[in-house]
Amino acid sequence: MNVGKIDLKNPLILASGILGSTGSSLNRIAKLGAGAVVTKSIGATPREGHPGPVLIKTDTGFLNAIGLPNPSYKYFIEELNDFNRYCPLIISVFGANRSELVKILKNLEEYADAFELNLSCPNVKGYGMDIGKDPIFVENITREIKKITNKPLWVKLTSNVEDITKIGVAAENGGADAVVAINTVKGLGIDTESGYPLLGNVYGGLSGRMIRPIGLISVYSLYKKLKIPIIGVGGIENYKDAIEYFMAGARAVEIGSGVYNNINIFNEIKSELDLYLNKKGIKLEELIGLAHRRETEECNNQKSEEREQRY
Amino acid sequence: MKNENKDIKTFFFDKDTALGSPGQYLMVWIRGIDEIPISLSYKNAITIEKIGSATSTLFNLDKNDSLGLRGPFGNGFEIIKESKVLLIGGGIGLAPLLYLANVLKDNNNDITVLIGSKNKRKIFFDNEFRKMAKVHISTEDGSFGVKGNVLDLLKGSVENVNIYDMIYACGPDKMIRSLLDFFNMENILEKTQFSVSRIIKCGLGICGSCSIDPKGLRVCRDGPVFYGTDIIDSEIGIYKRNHAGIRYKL
Repeated sequence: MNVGKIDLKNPLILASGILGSTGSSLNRIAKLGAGAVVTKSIGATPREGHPGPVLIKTDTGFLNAIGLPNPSYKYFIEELNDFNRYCPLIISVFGANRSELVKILKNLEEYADAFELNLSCPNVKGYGMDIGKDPIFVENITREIKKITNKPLWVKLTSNVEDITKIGVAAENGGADAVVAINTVKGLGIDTESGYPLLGNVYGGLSGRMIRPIGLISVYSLYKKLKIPIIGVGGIENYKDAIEYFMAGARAVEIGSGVYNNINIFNEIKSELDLYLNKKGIKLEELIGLAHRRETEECNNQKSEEREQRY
Repeated sequence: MKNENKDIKTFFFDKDTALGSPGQYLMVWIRGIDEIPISLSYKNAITIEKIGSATSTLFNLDKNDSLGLRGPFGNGFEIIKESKVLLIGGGIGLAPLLYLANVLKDNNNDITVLIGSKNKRKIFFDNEFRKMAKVHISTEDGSFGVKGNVLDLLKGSVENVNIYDMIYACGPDKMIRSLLDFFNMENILEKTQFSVSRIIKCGLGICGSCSIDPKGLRVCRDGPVFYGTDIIDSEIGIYKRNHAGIRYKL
């Protein structure tokens, strides 16, 4: 299946930041059934990330501020050389400006089936969400990057804005091949024993089950405004969660925190999804955006009811 | 709190219940500084070597101070019963082995312990181990016991490693590598368990900072204890990654 100009083995993709720091770790997930894998976000210079705690388990999810640790594009190449190409590879990249991104993309281009531009990390100042909230910046940087690389470009959006569709439209206008929604939702936790914020970075990003409704409304709203494909992400733990995203308008989904409970989640959702489609006698294609078509039907029904009442 | 030597201290928690099983670890939060993974050295205690800012801050804590704890995490040692076992520890790697020895003793095992230390001054836990095991010691400078490393000690003090039903080891990467290669030669890897160390950030098997090549095993979740057969072909003892994920040779 072709989504955002790359051929996926299936619509279930490993999300960035999860077990994507090394070639062998990516190989492991690829062999466990992922349709494609996204690497940890890679930057221009090595970063150690934030001091701990970097990840806290909450009631039905996680709060994290890992802080974009990465070896830089230069040292990430040896990890990419270890990747066995068992599925397509999407390299997630972040940068503070155009010149950083040019360096990263030029050096990693030959390894990538596509790039995912991280404009949405909520826990590092000057990168990610800080710059990804501004539609004009998003449109311009997307356009610039499309000039640098011929590889497909996906733009990962933050939901920490008043209207995510403005950012999505900006990415589309800039020439993005797909948008990915959503990154984690900004959040805070406090230690009641001491008063210290629970994360070393003070605030972080919320992921897991509890953010699924936020991801769904984001995908749903983007679908109404965009022509390019949407990749849904946020709180997917089983095949029904994935189906919700397809029905909201996603052509593929990414899975991150869901790997915590079950590292074999890709294989399992894939077979359950096949079972569901077989039972219903439909194709995945028919699920995509179904909730929008139902909404239209409902409107039409209401209108005809009104009409009947009138006459 | 108990001083084991100049740079090593044991911290007992006020809970009397077991905080985990031998080989499991806690994420210890030194508020405002950092969070670090530490194996249990008793059912309710951790033993720490002063090496960085987090551990130095820990050393300055007072008796009733509190710490943030997450865990226990990871897979610990598999315990066997009524058998002959050998424990091999180097440096701070002895910490999880002391808790292990206590539990192995409760399970009526015949225990032998090999302790590797840089010098006489750095030896610790030897008296604790003597209460339940035969103990042999080596020092790199020869200031106590056999001169050399634990592999020299093993070859010198144990005639035949095949007499042991299980061998448990924990220590620096280089030590683990030398033991892995030796046990591989002796064809007894399936009877060996190693606790290994990597940079653990999340502790939950999500972030990937502790993945080891080539299988992508997560030390924090799939380990930290692995059978020798699982890690003989791994990066252990050959290279590691730093906090940014850059590889460096050992």
